[in-house]
Amino acid sequence: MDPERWQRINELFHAALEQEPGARGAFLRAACGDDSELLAEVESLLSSHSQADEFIEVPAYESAADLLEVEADESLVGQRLGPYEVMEKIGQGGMGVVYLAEDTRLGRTVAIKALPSNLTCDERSRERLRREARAAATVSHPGIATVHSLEEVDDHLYIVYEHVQGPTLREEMADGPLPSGRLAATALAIARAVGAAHEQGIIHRDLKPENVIRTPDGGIKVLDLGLAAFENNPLPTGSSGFRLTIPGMLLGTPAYMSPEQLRGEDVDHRADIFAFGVLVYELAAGTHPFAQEDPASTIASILELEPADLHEEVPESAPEISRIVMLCLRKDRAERYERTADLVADLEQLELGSGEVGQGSGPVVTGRPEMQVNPATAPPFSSTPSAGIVSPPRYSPLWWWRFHQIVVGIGYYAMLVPLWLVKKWTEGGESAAWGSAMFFIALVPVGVAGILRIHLWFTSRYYPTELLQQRSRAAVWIHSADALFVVLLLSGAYLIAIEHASVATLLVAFAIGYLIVATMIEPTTSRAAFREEGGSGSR
Amino acid sequence: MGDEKAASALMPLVYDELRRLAHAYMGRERPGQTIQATALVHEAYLRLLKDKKQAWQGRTHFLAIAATSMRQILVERARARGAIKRGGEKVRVTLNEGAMGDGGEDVDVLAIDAALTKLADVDPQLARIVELRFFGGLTIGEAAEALDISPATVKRGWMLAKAWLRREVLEEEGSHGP
Repeated sequence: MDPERWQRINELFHAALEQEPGARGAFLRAACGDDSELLAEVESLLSSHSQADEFIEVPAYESAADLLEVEADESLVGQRLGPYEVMEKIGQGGMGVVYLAEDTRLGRTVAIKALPSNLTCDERSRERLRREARAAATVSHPGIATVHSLEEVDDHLYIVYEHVQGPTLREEMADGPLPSGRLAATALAIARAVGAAHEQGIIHRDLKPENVIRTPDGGIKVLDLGLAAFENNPLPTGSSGFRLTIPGMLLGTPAYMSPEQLRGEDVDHRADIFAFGVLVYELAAGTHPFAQEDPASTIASILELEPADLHEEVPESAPEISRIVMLCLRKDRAERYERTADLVADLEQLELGSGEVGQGSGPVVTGRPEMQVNPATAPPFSSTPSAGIVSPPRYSPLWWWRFHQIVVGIGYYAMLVPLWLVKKWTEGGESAAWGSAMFFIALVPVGVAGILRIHLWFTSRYYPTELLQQRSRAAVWIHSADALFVVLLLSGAYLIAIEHASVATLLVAFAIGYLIVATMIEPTTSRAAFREEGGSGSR
Repeated sequence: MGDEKAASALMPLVYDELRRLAHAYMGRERPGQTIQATALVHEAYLRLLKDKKQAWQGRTHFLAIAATSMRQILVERARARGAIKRGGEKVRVTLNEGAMGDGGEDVDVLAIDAALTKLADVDPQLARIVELRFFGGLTIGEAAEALDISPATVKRGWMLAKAWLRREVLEEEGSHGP
């Protein structure tokens, strides 16, 4: 309808209502003139109005409350789906029901995720379930529940998952916040699992304590990729196109949603990073960073309020984890970790014991990653090039590694003293040439190994990002120098064994000491400091 | 991004949150117990609505979004039910004078939804007022706050919208009736 005409109808309708009921007819006839259509329209509305007192005055959810009742959900318990005997229902969400089932062929228990009975035949829901299976199957990671298969039997479509036993992190949290060591390990494990999904271009979109299981071996498994999206094939949030996520369907849990998710923008992996931040905050503090009394206020709080700093909220929590978490919780995703790998790196760094944790490549002020270089806070092993002083906490593995480098480095020079004595004592004797040659040869390994070790110490302190490369370059030189030095110490001991037995014994003792240090202590310290076992942990 | 888009994006969240609330009210779920979550959405929503102490200024905004959500839930359910009961036939409108005089008993949600969609073409603001009032249960004052217009405007709009909708629904019934 023409807006002007509607406006006219609107005005006349209200103007007529202000007239005495008896005078309305005359008023309208005068007002409409010869526009009989207008007159008829307004009169019909007035007539309708006179009978509409109660019409829709009672809200629909009361007058049609019966619509909100749900038919009993048909359970699959006791049924047999292909080779699977469904034993019991272990979970229910809006888009899926999870059952515990026995695989009669392989004699193992599995978890079966099927659609709720009212959605069994809904093609959209079926497609969503298929997509979940594909997403979960794409990511092969010990931290993510394994998909055994996707099965279609008659009308039933279901995913067969490995059955992960253990409490959810929500249940674990019921016993109070996690102690900091366990917290850091748990956070790292979750970040690695989520990072593995991100590497495959899969966003979880529903990361929360209910979806993470503590496995019996103390690890974690991330469950429920029911909302997962493929990042290179994002779901349109506009009204065009076929959407698998229609309004009215469960879509994530608001309390763990990033502001951009709540605003309905396209989400990327950084939404998971936000949810991760909320999750870890909650694990550390025992309270949700945005919790308010009701869901509406919680949503508002995610959108608008800055959460209390974790370290201030929970003073016993490590300041480093607090910084990581607060970085994940930035409202603007450009200020969060740019890559999940950076988050993992910072958490690894934390595990590794270095106190300083940086920004990854998350900018703070400028919004442009390359502009944000904060040397004082850059992580020693993050991808960000940096030149800052990094001090690991006392007695952490990295601290011990540095201590080792300095002590051994100085030790070389100290050992020149007894070798000098050997040279002096053999002067004039028949082995004078040997004694003096040994001393001068010893200067070579002392120079090489001593300087290299001090160089490594210096690098780890001032140019941490270069450390790994420098270590591998220096390794062969240091090992050769160590070996030569040990040989020289033993030879020296041999030359003076008869006249100066005590000094010779000292030399032998040092040689053995050096051997033990080089073959046992140093590898252990390095492993602890750089997590070299298994390869995957090293950066 | 417009408010409309924001609202439509929030809708599933609202629905989800309502369902979650509903679950919470149910207490611990026992195996074998029928899940009545959607039924309890109702209760959850009512609680939210009646909680007038809420100091949070965005409450009205939330309720306004929830209204759209509630409309969707009810329409979907009415459609599903109609499809089940009538084997997929078009749902016949069953609105009549008696029912209307009766405090809205036997209200045909689908008919009102369809009429409301038409009204939105004529006057989007009126349609929104109806959505807030009828589907969302907002008072005149709350609807005014949500729409940022005066309560008097809402009241006048509500009167006209009711008259218009009622006529539209009855006309539709007439044209599809036996």
